[in-house]
Amino acid sequence: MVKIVMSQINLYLKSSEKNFISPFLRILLFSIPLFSISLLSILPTYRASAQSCISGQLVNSVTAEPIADASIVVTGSGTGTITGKDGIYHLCNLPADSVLITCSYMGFETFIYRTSLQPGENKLPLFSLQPKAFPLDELVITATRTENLILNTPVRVNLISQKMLKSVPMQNIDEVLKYAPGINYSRPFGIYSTKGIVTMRGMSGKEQGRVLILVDGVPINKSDGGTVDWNMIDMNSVQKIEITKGAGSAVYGGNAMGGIINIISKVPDSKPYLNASIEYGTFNTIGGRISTGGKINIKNQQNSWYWLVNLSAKHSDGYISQSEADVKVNPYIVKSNMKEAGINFKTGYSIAGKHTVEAMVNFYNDKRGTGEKVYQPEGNTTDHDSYGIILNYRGQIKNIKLNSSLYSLTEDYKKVNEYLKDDYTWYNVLSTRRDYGWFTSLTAAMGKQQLVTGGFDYKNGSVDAYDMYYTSTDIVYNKGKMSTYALFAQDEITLLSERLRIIAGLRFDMASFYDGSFRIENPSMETEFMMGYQVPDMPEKNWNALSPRLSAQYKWNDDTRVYAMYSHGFRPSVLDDLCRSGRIKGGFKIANPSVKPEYLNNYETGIDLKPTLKSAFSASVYYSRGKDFQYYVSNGETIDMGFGERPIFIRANISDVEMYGAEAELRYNILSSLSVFANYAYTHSTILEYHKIAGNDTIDLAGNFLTDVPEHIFAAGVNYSNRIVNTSVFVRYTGSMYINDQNTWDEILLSDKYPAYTTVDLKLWKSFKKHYNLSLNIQNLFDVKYYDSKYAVCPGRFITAEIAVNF
Amino acid sequence: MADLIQIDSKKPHFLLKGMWFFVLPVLAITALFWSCTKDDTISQANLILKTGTSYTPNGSSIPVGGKIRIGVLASGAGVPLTYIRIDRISSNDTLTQLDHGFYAGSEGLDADYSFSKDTSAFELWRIMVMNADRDTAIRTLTIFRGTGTAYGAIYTFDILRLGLQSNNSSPHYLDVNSGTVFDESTVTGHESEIDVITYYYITSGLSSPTFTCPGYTSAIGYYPQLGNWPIKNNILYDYQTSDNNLVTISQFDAATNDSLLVTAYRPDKVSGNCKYGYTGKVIPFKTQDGKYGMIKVIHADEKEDGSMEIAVKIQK
Repeated sequence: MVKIVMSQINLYLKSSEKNFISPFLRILLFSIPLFSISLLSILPTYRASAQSCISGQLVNSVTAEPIADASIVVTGSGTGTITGKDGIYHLCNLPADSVLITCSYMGFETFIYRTSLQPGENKLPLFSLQPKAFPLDELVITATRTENLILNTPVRVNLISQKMLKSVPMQNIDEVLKYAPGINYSRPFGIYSTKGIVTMRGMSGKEQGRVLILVDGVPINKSDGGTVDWNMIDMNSVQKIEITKGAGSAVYGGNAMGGIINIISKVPDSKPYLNASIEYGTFNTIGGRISTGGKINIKNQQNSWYWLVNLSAKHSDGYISQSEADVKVNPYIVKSNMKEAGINFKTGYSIAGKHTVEAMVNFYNDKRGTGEKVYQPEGNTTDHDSYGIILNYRGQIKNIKLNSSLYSLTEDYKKVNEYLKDDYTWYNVLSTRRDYGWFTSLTAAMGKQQLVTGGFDYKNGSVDAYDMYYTSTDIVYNKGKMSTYALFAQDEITLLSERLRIIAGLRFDMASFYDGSFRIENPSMETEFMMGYQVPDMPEKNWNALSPRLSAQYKWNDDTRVYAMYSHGFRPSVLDDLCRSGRIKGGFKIANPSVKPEYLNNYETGIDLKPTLKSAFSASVYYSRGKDFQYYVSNGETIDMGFGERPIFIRANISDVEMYGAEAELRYNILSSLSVFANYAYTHSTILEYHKIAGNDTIDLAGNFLTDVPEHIFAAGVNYSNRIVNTSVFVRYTGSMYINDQNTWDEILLSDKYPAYTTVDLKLWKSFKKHYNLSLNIQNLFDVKYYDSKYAVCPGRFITAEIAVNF
Repeated sequence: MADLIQIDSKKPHFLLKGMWFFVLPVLAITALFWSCTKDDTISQANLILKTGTSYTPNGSSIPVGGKIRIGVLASGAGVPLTYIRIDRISSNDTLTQLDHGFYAGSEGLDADYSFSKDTSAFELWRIMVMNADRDTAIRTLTIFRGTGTAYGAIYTFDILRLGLQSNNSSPHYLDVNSGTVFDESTVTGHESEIDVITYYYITSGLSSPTFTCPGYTSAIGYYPQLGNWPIKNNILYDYQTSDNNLVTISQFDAATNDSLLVTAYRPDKVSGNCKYGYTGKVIPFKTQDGKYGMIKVIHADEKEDGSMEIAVKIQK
């Protein structure tokens, strides 16, 4: 009743604000309800004069901010309430006796307080709740496109929290993922790598395209190659990362075969701030960052406007990454270096907490030297100019929630290639890769036990590229576009007092490849051999995919559950394979507009439990069968590209694969300041069937292991917060993995497998004088050397020191 | 606006400061990126064909097998010169005689080339250079077939043994003009005469005893002492003819003048500075000073400390 009265007051005040009512009238208006409230509050006191009331406030122990909507329950009395926006609670009808008060709120450790009450009002001390060490029950959105607690989502979800992000020594955001369970991670040259690859669930670490990467729900895998430019994601802009394991095409469509990684960006929730930092480290690496943002409440705090800007820049002289053998035969080898700069801007306006419009703009430029320089001022380089615009709307009308995102991501890629062998060759690859789309979903509660979500997605990817030669007359063009339309529906059903939860989803994707072209202008000896493979007007190709998912879980209590899931995933063919012919390692590949998507069925089950109050354990096992996997396969013909006959390859759907494995993780919070984790993953990925397309193809991959998939991965970490210096240590073991598709002896690495290796990372950091923070990052502490397929070596130990100022 | 904004922190001054912190870096970065503008002016390539008694003039009549000498003076006019191509066009048949990428700065290109006249009655020789702005300059020469033939004499060197890179007992360096082989100690002072060296490696799984030349970039990896040579000659091996066995051993053995040497070298596909040379192969080549020749591989070991036994025929 009190609430009703107060809401009426608020409504009246809102409507009267426009009239600029006088102070006197305001006092009068407040007096009436206050009087009413006082009168009402007397009544229960009168009825139970022997009983007591309690009041107090609940705050976050870390930030000291009030916790709203927390539960306050007096055990045994059946009485309880929730805290207001200011964290204050007030509860009456209590016996004047000793009581046990339980304060709980999602994401915080439960607090229990025993006290003796006196008749009348009892003012309790300030209660503070400790944030939970294990963010197992945090809200996640990726798995279902609706907000759910992790333990209410019958899918394996791993969360990289803000705490983890702050404690892992890293230079790029993808590096933090390598400590999550079962992550197959590749960034062989550290910050000098032009790309990082993060996969999971038995997918090869050679290609990013089988795992979908999202930023705030927007896909960033490029249609041209399925790749992701991890370098462009500013670490400072990330709030958390959700890793959803297993095929997820029922929700997001293409690329979600092995799983989905959703990078959630920060939203300012406090007064304006400014952070600035500079860092210096190995190989003369110099970097700087500025972050600023804030949130302003408008119109009696019902509406708010927020904004943030992140600026970053880094430069490094680099190191010689090539093998000693290459250095010996090539006098033009130089250090692989890098420089980059980026800016991202985000702003949003929230109306009464029910409608939020948000805009994000990103720009990123980098230039990375690949380690060879003949005549060009910076030698062989790759250069990305990336622009992104994302517009989001999140709103609620009655019981229907609407999420809609418009996005446009453009990458202007430039690669300078030069080498001097027989004669001097110099050509630039210039490629404009554009992806844009519109994702929309509607979610409605159908009674208390069902949440139905449906929506449509549209996305378009295109590439318009050419290789322009400067040491000959040739220009080689390729271009193509792909449009995808999708409809999806999902039902989340909760039964048996929320113990049983079922999610059923279905999505239909319909795609079209069009405007494909591959042609050569002014051919010379450099590209003459390709002339016969020109296709100026490729035929339009269409395909579709139906992706179901069914998953269910049973919870014994808030801390223990088992789940099982069947899901379907697919990966569309990439534009590079559909419309570009060109040299590849070991031969020549020709464009194939007829390549179909790959499909995968995934079955898995898992368990989550908390053996003790301070520990959490999770484990999953999975089995996946992939169909129509794409490989480069000989078409039976050969071509002379200037150095003898070499096989012609074509990308085709030629193999069925099998993947199975298990992963488990244990997290233990020894003290509030000391936590540890360890996880292990076993993976077995093999090719079951290999369908040749040429009778004279001597290769048969059936029975072979997928390349770049470590059989064993182990990771562990310790995080110790203290007054002297905060310390975190992480270790990762990456098992051996096959180098080539034939699983044969590699003449460069002199093995059939990359050897296993273990790296240790260390971070030390300390805040001082309130505004300053000093940190030391040591990656690959023991300077372990590991190599790629060309025997190029990793940077080894990499140390950076950073000082940050926060206002 | 001030009435509408009720700031929780009640620190409007700090807010304003925050706005400036936002605005200034954005402006600075924007200015930084926008300041990088491209210069779209295209430099025009220049090309002059040399004249004089050493060069074949336009409209000349040359007998079959006779030399066509073309001298080129070219510049990129402010940007590097990067490409030259010489095509022979006869009866609607275009045969590329030279397709060469290079990098010449302000010094430009000053080079002489020689070719042999073939049997066609009329030939148009098209010389094209291109600079780093992809601007091209083209000149042409018209050459007629003269009377008779002018096939020249050749040198024949029947058995030459060259050690591969780890062979310490056989010499490594060959002067194809004289058929002389040199070892590490005797080559000093003769570096400018060396055209052929050999090495062994495995590439793409293929065992490869290989011919190369001092000017080939990777040769220094097998013979580090090349780094100190003042002059390093290049040689071009014809891939197409050797890969497809277009010249047989008996044809090689039967050659008594340079007719076969001239006609067998057809670099219309690709030629390069290194070529696999298995036992039994015949490999046409053209030296840096324009002489045509052929190598017959009598025997090639497939190990780093082995050797290659060859016969050579070359224009005098």
